Amino acid sequence: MNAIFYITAAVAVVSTGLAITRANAIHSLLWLVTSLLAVSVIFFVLGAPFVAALEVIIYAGAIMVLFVFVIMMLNLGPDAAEQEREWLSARAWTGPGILALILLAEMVYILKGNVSTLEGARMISPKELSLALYGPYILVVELASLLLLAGLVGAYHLGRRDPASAKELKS
Amino acid sequence: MLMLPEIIVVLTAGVVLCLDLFLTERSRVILAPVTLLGLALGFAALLVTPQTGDLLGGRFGMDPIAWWFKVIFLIAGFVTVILSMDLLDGRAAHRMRGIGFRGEYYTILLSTIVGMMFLISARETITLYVSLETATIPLFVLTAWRRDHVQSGEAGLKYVIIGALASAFILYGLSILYGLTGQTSIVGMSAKLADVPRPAFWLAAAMLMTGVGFKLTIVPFHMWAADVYEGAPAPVTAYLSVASKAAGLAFMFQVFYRIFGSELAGWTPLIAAFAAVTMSLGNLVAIVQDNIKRFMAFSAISQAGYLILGFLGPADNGVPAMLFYMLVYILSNLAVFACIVWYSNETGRERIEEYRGLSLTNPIMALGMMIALFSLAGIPPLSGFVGKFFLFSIAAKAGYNWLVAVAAVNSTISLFYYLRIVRQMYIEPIYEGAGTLPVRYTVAATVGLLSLAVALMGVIPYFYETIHAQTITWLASLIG
Amino acid sequence: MTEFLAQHTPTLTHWLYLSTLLFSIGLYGLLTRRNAVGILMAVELMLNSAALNFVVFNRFCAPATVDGQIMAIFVIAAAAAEVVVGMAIFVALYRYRGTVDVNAMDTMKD
Repeated sequence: MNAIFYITAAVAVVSTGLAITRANAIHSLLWLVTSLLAVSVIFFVLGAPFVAALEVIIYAGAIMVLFVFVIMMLNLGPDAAEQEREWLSARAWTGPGILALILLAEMVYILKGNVSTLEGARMISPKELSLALYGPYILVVELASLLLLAGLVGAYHLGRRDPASAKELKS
Repeated sequence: MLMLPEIIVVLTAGVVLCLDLFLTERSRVILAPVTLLGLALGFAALLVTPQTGDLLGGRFGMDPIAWWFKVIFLIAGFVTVILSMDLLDGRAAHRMRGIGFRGEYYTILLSTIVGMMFLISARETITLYVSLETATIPLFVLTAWRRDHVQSGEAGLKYVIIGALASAFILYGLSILYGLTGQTSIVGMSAKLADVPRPAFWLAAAMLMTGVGFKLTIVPFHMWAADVYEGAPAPVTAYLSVASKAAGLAFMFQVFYRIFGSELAGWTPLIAAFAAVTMSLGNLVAIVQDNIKRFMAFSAISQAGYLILGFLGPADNGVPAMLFYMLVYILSNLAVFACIVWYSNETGRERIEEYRGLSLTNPIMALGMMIALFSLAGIPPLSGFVGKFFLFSIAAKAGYNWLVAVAAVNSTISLFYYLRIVRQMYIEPIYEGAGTLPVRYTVAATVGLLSLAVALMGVIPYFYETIHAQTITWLASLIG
Repeated sequence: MTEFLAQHTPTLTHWLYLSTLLFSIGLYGLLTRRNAVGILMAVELMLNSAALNFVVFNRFCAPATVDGQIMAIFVIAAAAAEVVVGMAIFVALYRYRGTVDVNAMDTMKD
């Protein structure tokens, strides 16, 4: 079981370091996704399966997809096709892919042999977490929803195109 | 009932957002009055809210300090809405594209006010963190509100990056504190802090200090302020310079007085150094500024330097002095910004030299602006002087005579540069053919009331005495 | 190898090494990256390492409670809001300026 910690930690550190140092934005995003997946495995091992799931769904899923969208959007130049080919080359995704496979193997191992967590850790069930969220922490849930609403409204405003300014940009 | 003011403001945000859907563009002008009504109702609710008590098992608390901060936030929000009205509904809106969209604007503004109000009432770190983010993140959008204006977007980009960095530091500091104490409740944390390992504690404290330094524009962390203040739409700059700063102070109160408590005594040399550097650098750079919004940014930085002098003394002196100064500062600053917003909307001018002759075209606005500027400079008998006097006397009592000397020199310098604007308004010749500029009655009333309040609060001791008496009774239970 | 692993059960310190390392890498990225999107990615890493800290402390310092995990959830939520707003600003700015390189952001210097 200890091996899981060392392998995952190594995957996390290596992929984070590469995510920060790669010059190509899409490449560093692939590494970043791997890093987030590694942290998610760590959450699972530490007895936080619900947080681990959220990390995958929201962080590695939604937020990273947003990053990908924006990067692709900001790179719509004439050499976009060239870039596309370069981004999707095997060299770009092999590294993150291998590390992600390692994480997958770990997860399979954890799930097969019923070693739930590190020794001594208590698996905190989603139910327990939800009871706390919608009990004592209900105020924070409401505040967070207000925050997300404000972020949504703001992003809508900033992202919308003025008919007038769009015309001007084209001319 | 304790949470009534917050609930009213949240509901107002919802009402404004929904109304926006059903209104035609022409009738959307009523959104600002609706927002104002909501904030006024929130203020009325605050007046009848008991000043002590807690809710949700002690996760939401109310005490005189929180009460006064909420007064500050609501006033700042109310005046900002009036100033935004002048920008969004007035002549300027036709000149600038990408402005307008009132429903979204007011919804976002209201949600930052709610975040700030919860920030000072939070009694555990999760609420504290989320409310801090609720108060900050929408401000990024407001800063970048003018989509087709390069500087507005650039200011937004800088503010997002710095804001996210600051919140990452704060979050990491909070996580270490959580690890050291095993608690998220602020009371529980502060009870356990006495016997935690020191190095880890200092790391957490340093991280929190850094994060708060960004929010309060304490000097090594101030560099973003000038660009963000200059690029943001003028009413948003006004809001940033008062409400965002007040929120930073509120967060500092939460961390320093409630969590660290007695640890504060050992920190005074550090705070004194920060204060000295902040006020000096802010003042010196302000002298050479040309753009009035940029100038007000450096003025705000130096004011933050005076403000944190209050942390040098014991809490029962420092808290009322800082609260009073914050109140005075927001009133004076908002009065100045009301004039800046109005002048920029009417003429598009934002340079200091371009204020020449204002006293001849619009004597009342010029008079209000002059009173507010003199209050910021700390000229007796205006309230800025009284506020500074209390803060300086705290530093003197704590034995920092050199710092008082530095602060006094700085006040003199600041008088010089505030007078630059007054000189432009009163002595320099008028623009050729300039006539009286129209003033909306709301803006005129705001400037009048604010400058009157600034003048009266210095003469009538009632305000300071009330703040002092109310906070003292509460602090006695905390410290004693 | 297996012996080594059996004897070295990760303790609190090991986990903290990991999260501190991630935080520092994020900070390094923040200081070196020039593209605003890259900077935002670095900030996300820093926030993520703080979330990791909360879960680790929850497990080792207060195993009976769930506060740390709750905090981690809200950190993810707040990070989502931050990214959305940041990206919207970058896209709006990019439309106008054609770049989000922070070194090019100097229209307001005197």
